[in-house]
Amino acid sequence: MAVGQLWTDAGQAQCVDLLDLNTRSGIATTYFGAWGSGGNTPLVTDTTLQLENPEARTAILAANISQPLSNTCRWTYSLTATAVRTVQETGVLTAVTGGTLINHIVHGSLSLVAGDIVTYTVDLVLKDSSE
Amino acid sequence: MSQDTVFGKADVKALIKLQKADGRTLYYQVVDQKNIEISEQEYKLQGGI
Repeated sequence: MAVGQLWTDAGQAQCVDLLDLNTRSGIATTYFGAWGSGGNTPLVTDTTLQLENPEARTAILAANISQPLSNTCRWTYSLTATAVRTVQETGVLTAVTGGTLINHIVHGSLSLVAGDIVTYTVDLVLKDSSE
Repeated sequence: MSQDTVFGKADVKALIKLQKADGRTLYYQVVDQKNIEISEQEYKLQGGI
């Protein structure tokens, strides 16, 4: 298992719910990128970032979601530091507050000052067992 | 490396572009909770914008 980069259980459940005609209408399909300072290894059971930073989540518009391959969903989003920040985790969620955490990535620590911009490109690649 | 899921397997990959307020731009690929610095060319080859 890739260390530190996960498709969460909640994200997997959302995918199943989108396939199910009985549940899909109730699924939020808006996406927001968030960042935080937590550095612990993420777990598939995570439902939030560890220590989300106070900058508002970035709405990820359809133009910033793509499929570079038919089995891959790509989200691209940027966040701007409004003060000195440490950033060590990111995730895509379905709401501007709360929401479902689709994926959770912990990365090397970045020390930011006000005005620094981080752009994340996050790919979710689904494969069968032989791939 | 892949994550086993109910669907089979999944990979979550991440790229980072860091635009510093002083004008510098740095590019990273995330591997096992580490930021591996890569070139702008490699960043774009992997789909970064």
